[in-house]
Amino acid sequence: MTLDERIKEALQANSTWSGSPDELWAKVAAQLPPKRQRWRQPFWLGTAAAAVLVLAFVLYAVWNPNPPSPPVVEDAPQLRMFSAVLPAFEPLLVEGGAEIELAVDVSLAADSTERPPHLEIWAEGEERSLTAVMDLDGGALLRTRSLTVQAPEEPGSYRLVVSGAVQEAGQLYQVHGELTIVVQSADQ
Amino acid sequence: MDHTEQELIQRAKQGEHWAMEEIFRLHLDSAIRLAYLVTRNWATAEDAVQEAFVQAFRSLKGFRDGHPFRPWFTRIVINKAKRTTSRLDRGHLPYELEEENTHASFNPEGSVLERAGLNELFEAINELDDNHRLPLLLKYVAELTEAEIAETLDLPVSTVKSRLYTARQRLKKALTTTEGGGRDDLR
Repeated sequence: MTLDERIKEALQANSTWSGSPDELWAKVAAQLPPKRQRWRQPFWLGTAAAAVLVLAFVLYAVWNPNPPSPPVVEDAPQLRMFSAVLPAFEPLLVEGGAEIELAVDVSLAADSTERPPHLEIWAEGEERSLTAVMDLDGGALLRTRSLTVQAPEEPGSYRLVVSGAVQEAGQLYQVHGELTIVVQSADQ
Repeated sequence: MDHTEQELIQRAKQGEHWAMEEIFRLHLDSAIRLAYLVTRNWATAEDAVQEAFVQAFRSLKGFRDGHPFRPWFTRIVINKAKRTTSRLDRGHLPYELEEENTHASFNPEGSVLERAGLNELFEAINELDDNHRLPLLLKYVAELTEAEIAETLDLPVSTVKSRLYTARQRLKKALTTTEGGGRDDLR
């Protein structure tokens, strides 16, 4: 037996422990921090969570179609009863070239085939004729709900009609306004 | 399912108690022997080993991945054993007699003789001063390499080699004196 072997054996023979590993482990384990509960996430959970979010978003969009900053709209065009904007059923006497405020109603549109917002000025005499057509800023109409129109210079009765569809924030709106004016001659 | 030591360490770092228990059982034997040989008392050795395992598992996060566990842990055991011994002020008490020794008369004659030789060698080891005894214990009980012993004891490798050489020479001399002559196999 070599010296190395004898040293090893002498140390082994004189250091044989008769204690219980289980008891010692119990003492060690009692002083260890409690095991962290690591919940194993199923591999499909991420996909499922994403699908639920997408579904929730779609359902929300379907059932709550209001745009983020929607203009308050009515279901149908309604008459304005006060303010500087005058009711549509009574002719407004104005001077030629005067500025007129025309009320515009906004409602949800179902038909996307409608043309962009525009103003038509009809001369109403014995024979009705279209005297002017102007394209309008739909966004401005939605915000202000009114349109400032310059009256024709020529005396006579006119019908001002605002109509068309406006697309904003993914939603289609219909704008509508009508007013009959009578342009008086300068000597009236 | 068998796990490598590195796998066990990774799981233990994640707080898995079963992995800690496997590490405990892998290193308990050498740790308790080493602690006993330093403290010379089983109760103190058990306390030291218990504290060493608790400290090791609590500070596992600081253990560098890929490094062997035994040198790092042995250093903790040695420190705990020394500290526990000094705290109890046991000084250089003789080793507790083991039950095995007290029943030596029941062994066959050859074993008794061999046992006597081992006891003399063990006494000679205990006669060594700590500077020479500790490297010897780390080499033969903890089975560390000279480089690992150097790291454990914060010594240069050359110093460890020198101390191991000196310790072996002293043991060889003690044995030849006891056995009444030179022996060829004591290399």
